[in-house]
Amino acid sequence: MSTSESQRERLHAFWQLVVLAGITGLLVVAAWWKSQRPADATRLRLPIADLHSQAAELEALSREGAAHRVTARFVRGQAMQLRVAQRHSERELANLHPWPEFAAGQRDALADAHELRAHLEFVAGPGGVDEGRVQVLRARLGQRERALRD
Amino acid sequence: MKFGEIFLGVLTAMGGFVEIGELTFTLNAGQQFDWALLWVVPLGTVGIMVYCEMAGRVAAVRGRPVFALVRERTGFNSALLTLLASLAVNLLTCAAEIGGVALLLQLLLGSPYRLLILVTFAMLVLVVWFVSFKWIERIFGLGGLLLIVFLVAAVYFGPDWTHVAQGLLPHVPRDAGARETLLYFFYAVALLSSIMLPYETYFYASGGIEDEWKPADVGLNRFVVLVGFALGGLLSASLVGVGTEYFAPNEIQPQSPGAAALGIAHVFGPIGLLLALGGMFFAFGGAAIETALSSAYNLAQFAGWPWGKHLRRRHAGRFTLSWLATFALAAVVALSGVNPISIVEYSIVFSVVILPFTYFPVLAVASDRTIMGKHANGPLANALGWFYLVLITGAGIAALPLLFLTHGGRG
Repeated sequence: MSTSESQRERLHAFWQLVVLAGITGLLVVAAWWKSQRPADATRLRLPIADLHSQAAELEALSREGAAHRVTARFVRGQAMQLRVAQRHSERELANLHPWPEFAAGQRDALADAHELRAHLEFVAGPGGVDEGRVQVLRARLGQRERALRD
Repeated sequence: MKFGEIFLGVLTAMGGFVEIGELTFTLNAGQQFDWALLWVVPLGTVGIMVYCEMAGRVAAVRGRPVFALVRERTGFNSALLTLLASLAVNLLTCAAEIGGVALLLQLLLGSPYRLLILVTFAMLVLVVWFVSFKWIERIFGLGGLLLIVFLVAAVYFGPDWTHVAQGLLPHVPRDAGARETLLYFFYAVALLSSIMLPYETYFYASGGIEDEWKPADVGLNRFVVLVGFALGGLLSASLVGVGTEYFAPNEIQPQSPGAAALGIAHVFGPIGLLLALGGMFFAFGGAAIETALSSAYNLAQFAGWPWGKHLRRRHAGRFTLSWLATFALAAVVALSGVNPISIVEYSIVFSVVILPFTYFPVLAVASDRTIMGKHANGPLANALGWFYLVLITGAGIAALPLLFLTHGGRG
């Protein structure tokens, strides 16, 4: 390869790198800008949908555990993993700064998230959870999610 | 060729078909859209059959693995970009699989997650270090067959077969709004990508060379791909079924291996639970090994280093170091505490972007009569190859906008 060809290759590679770095920078700025904007109904709905699914999973876990279709060890392990997921969703919800019209919805959903966390603490315990209350919680979170979707 | 070897090849291809990303996407596709996305499973399965068969044939006839072809056919710059992208995708996928195995071990042992990531890392390194290539394939492929319990469960749930048949025809659900339609297409692209993951082709072709395939093995290659992957596709279809029949009515979006196993426990109790967890353990463990080895294969084939598990380690030092480094980096990513399912969702969407760059060189060489002689593609293989190349290019272009518009597939 001649010297001029090699220089051209190097220049070409340099510009490719510049373009790549530029695109990455733009994406980072766009993500930061989006995170600074007040949350709309969609952004509020996403963690609520996750909490709704987690409540439904807790309900199923408790039901299968009570029917001895899953072992107590499995219930403990899965509840541990659900707690991690729940904490993540609750944190995501709490960190949102919604438009004023959604502030009450965020507050209510956070109360539901706290209740779900409390249930998760008890699922692997000797008394288990109150399935009826989890069912009501799951239905309520589902309603909140659907309201924000519509 | 012995019947037993062919039989084992088919079973390992079937058992190694599903990994954590495919499991999650197919279950969630069923949960969100019932059977309406079922058509993507046969579409993707035929696609991976077409390209693995071609890559395996080139490996058998010419002894050339995929990444040597990528560099030869697309030039240094483009091949380097494909290499870096494939290494990144393999690393993320490997991290997700390691995280998935650690989550499964946590269900069995109850130990802290991060400790179990280290245990998984050590276990996988020891397996690849001490076990031969053939036995790695067999242990993890055959162990993955325990996932057949999902197939039995899907039938046991008693699906409406008319709905199942309707799902084989591409259609957006009738009452879907703009949000659901975008999500539907996101899932279609992600499912296609999860079935046609590029590392499967790298690993399959390199594995053919590890197994010392010769031109006489072209028939074996075709049979294993057609039958083994078809059965693997059936397994994927059953995951859509379990998503539809169990997770949708229970309003659960399964985001962990344990959640996925709940549907099976509901039908078969603790035995079913154990089979599902065991199947996932081998499937995810096998996929972690395949992605780590694929990274080492790609790097070595691109750079022209000696490679292969069949070589003595001191003769393939850089190859060995590459798979060790992939495991180590993947373990670090998993240790960061990011949910493995979140990692794999992104790695699958980014995979589809590099698929055309991986598959075009395979198609170009497999159809070249001057290179492949009488083993070159026939009209059907060429037509299918071009059809899928156009399809995955379209999917690759749509993938990132869909990921953005659906908030990372969350709706």
